[in-house]
Amino acid sequence: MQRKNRLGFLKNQMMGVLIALTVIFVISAIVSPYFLTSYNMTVVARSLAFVGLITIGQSMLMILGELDLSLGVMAGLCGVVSGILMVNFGLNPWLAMFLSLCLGAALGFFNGIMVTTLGLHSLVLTIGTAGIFGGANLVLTKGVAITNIPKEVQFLGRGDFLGMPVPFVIMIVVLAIASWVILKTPFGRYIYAIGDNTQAARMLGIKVDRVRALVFTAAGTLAALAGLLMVTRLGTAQPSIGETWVLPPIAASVIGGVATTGGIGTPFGAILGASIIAVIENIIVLFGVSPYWQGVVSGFIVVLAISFDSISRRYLRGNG
Amino acid sequence: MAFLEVEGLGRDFPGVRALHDVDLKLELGRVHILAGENGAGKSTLVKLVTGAYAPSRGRILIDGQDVASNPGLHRYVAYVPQELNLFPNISVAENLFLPYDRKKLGGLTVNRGKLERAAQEYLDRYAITASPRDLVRDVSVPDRQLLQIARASTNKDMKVLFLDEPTSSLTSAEIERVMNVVRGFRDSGHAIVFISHKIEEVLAIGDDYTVLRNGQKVADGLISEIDEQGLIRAMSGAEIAIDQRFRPDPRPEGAPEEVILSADGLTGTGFEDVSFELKRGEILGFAGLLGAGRSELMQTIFGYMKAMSGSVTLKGKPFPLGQTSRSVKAGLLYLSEERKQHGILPQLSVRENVGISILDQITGKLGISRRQERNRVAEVIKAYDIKVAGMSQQISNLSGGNQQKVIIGRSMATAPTVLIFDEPTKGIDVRTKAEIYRIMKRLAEEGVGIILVSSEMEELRRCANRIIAMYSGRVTGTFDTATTSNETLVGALFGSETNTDAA
Amino acid sequence: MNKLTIALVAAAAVALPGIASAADQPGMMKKDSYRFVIIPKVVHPWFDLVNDGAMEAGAVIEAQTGSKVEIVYSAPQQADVVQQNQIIESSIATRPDGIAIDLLDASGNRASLEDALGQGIPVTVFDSVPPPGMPLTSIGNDFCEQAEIASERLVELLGGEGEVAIMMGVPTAPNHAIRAECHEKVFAKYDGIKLVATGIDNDSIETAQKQAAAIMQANPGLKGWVACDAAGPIGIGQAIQEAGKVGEVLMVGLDNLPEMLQLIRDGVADSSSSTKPQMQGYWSVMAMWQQATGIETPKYIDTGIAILTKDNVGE
Repeated sequence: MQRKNRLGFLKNQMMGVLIALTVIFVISAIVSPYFLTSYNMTVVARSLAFVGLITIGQSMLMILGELDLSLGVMAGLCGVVSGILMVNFGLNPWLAMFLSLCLGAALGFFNGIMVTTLGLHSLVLTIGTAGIFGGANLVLTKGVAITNIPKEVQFLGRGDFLGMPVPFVIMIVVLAIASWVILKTPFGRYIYAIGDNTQAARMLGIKVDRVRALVFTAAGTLAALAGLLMVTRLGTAQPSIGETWVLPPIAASVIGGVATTGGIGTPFGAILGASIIAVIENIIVLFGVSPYWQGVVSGFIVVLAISFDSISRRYLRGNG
Repeated sequence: MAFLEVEGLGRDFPGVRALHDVDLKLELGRVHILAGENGAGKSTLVKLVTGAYAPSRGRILIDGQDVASNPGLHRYVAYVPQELNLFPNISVAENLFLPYDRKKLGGLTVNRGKLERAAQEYLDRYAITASPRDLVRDVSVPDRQLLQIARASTNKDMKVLFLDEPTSSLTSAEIERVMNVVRGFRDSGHAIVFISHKIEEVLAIGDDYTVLRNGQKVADGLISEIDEQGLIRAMSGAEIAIDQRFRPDPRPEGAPEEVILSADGLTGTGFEDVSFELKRGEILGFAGLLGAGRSELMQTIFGYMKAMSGSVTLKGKPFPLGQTSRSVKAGLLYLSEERKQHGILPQLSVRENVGISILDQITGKLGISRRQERNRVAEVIKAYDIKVAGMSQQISNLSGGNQQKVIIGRSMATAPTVLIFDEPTKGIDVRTKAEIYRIMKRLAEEGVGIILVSSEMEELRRCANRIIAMYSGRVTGTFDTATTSNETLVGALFGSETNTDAA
Repeated sequence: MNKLTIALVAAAAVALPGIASAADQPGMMKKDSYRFVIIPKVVHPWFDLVNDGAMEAGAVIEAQTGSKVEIVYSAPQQADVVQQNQIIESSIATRPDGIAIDLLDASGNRASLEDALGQGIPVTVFDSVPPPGMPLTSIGNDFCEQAEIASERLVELLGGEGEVAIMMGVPTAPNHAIRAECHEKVFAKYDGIKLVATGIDNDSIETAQKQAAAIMQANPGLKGWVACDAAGPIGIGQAIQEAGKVGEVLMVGLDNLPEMLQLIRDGVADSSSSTKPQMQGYWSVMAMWQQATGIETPKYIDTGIAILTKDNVGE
């Protein structure tokens, strides 16, 4: 019998990502004197916060064996709607934000219900719904940003709490809650069970469809939260928010040890993956890499980070 | 002169000695039985000989040459695994010849007509009824089993054929087809290695035997010189009475008869108008051929498949069908024949596989209590004698028998009212079988309603108090095991409408 | 201690800071090296020309003063405000002597620009309008004038009669929006000119080509095109060529990308009303350098418009 179990496997996986992150961190600090400055750390933390929120939702969906490609545009749509409610309708900004969180939940739930009741593959379905949500965004805004977001909510995006950017603090709180749910509650175990073997999960009496719909809903809510925070950060509701939040969260999850086939990984690992991506994006600018080479360099580092992990695992486990 | 010779072969895995100092001699034109309990090292041996693993010690000679110096020799050896591993969504013909490098069918494009004509030859030779154009997913299980053998034999160099439990999902008539194919190979000068837990089968087809236990060779010789008892003793290292009965004791005279579960006029996919009663204290057997609709019936009662009409009552109350979560909550559990597909959570640990069923018992205000979970899982592992390296071991690394015990153990931890076992001993060794029978008997006597679906008549006779026979989706008779002859039962399985006897 | 000494010490105390502050006078500080960051909207050939101009300015300063000048060119991979802000913020962390930026969206970039000013890093804006109320030097041309030159030229070519269309750029980019507005105003002046369609190309040649092809399908009577960004006229030109309507549908282009010049040479476009990207890059660096030495720079530097025709594009 080989001694590879999921926990040990996970620990190894997590170790690999942690080591990769540390190595990238140390190299960055050596290469650029600006990297470790407190200002730059807040820059990295803030950029990690927004993508991180989407990553948490996406990683939970991936553990479940699903994928939602519409989370990015959902974030944009919810951000824009909150802007319209605050500025054009003069609603109380807090109420407007609450309503667009509800919208995010509803859109996520819609994706979940379509997947469960119609038996559609989530990848295919969400390509479609991404088109719908993105289109609705353009219809509402005509591509023009909504400016003059009330000052009273802007601290959510711009402010500091205990020396850390508020969005980052929010992301950490969400991560803690998500980790507790997925590791310590029956609901979390159901997510792993369904992702690992859906038929067996149904045989065990798990309400598979309900769990699925709920995780989609949670992911939608987190997407809306990310969109809202970005609106308060920019002070304007940009229709383009979220356009670049589609692939990085999936890549981050995979780097962080979440299996694309489901059943394996944790949101914490996914956030480690997202941190690697955030640090790479930052150091590339600090180091002044030519924009034409940025894609090549960041892609190369990501591939290196992943193979570092799999090589270290193979080495640790021996081949068999 | 042996064609394939294994000397002092051993293989280690981190922390485990899977195989040690094993000798084996295979001669052409003979059927060699490789026997042993689950986890005895049979699969490891097969993987070493077929080249999937490299040995840690010892050597393998094929046609007098060491494979270590000439790995090309592995081409003489073909292996048909126990698990069906065909491609379900492509045609029979393509499955036979993928990746097309045999028989010069490859090249730039695949010539479909040529491919299908070549496939037809093989199908005829093995009496497979499917057409070359059929998709494998539409082909019957016995045909798939034969198709796997046929695929192995498209290798023209094949001299040695390993068959790992080729009959485990077949009924007796279908088994005979496989046996004929095996005899054909033997007569055409091949060496066959036959692995099976079915002792009668092994005694009927084998010429020589080798028995493995705990990774070592414990016995070998000629089949003609050993009997059933001797073989079982060699495998298990203990005396096991193979004809021991596990029927629950009849209800004491005068005690009231209590119906736990009853179905009335139930109709669904694959079965029609089925009615029966499960009484407290009994094991109710369901016999039938493959495709008789027994699994479908049970999955419908469990709520996994949709019922079309009819009703079910549980402990006297109407029981609404259609949701597995409701069945589990009511204590009605179904243990599927398809352990891999329907039973285990393969990537998760033994702890999580057991824990998933008892989460409500171990979850406190702060979430799942890891300590309580460990304690409860340790109890289950102990109570059901599950052999694991530790509870965090990944379940897919356990042997089939131990996986089955994990599934039974976790079901029992929920204090069920009805347990439906669907082929619970498929691919499981004699000793573990007896343990599972003992568990069923104990449960029945404790008042849990037990239904046993089995294709092995012997199993039903040993365990069930009553047997319901099904043929092509309909009930063809209900029999009291103690008073019914085998002929009557077998007749019912083949559809002769025998009247229900006085059960 | 006599009174004289006290007076002398007092005088020295007053005078010394005065002497020290002579080097602090605007324009009197000299550093051995300067590092300036140029942040365009996106990776795009037009900005390569800006970068060329910036490098040239760097070389000029080095030659004239002996101070080292490093130009760091940091472009977002996509025209996305969020990404551009990340680049601004990461650049701030490197403590450059100045940042010159082509704003994707004045209000959306505002928080990050305030960050830069808060950290004491001078910001210069080129090719775009600074956020309202922020006193930044901006370098560019009169976008409205640039558009008017193009649309007036088209009206002249058409003899004041016919159906025309505008290809808008990125709707959220202020300079693109200003150009579209000014095109419309010019067309509205002439009774014979009818504006039949407006496309959106998001500064992508491919999108412009698709939009133009569709608009020409829908309006067979279309006679002329103007555009609002550098990618637009190139896509329109391809669409005109593919539809076989060279000479039948006229276009006055914008800016001076190589493909644009080729379209003029090939006779697909009559002319182009061009910004001067090299000059914008050059003066951005000059302005940042002046600010770094403490000199106040003008609110607006106009680089002017060049009109490119077959006669002056060369071979």
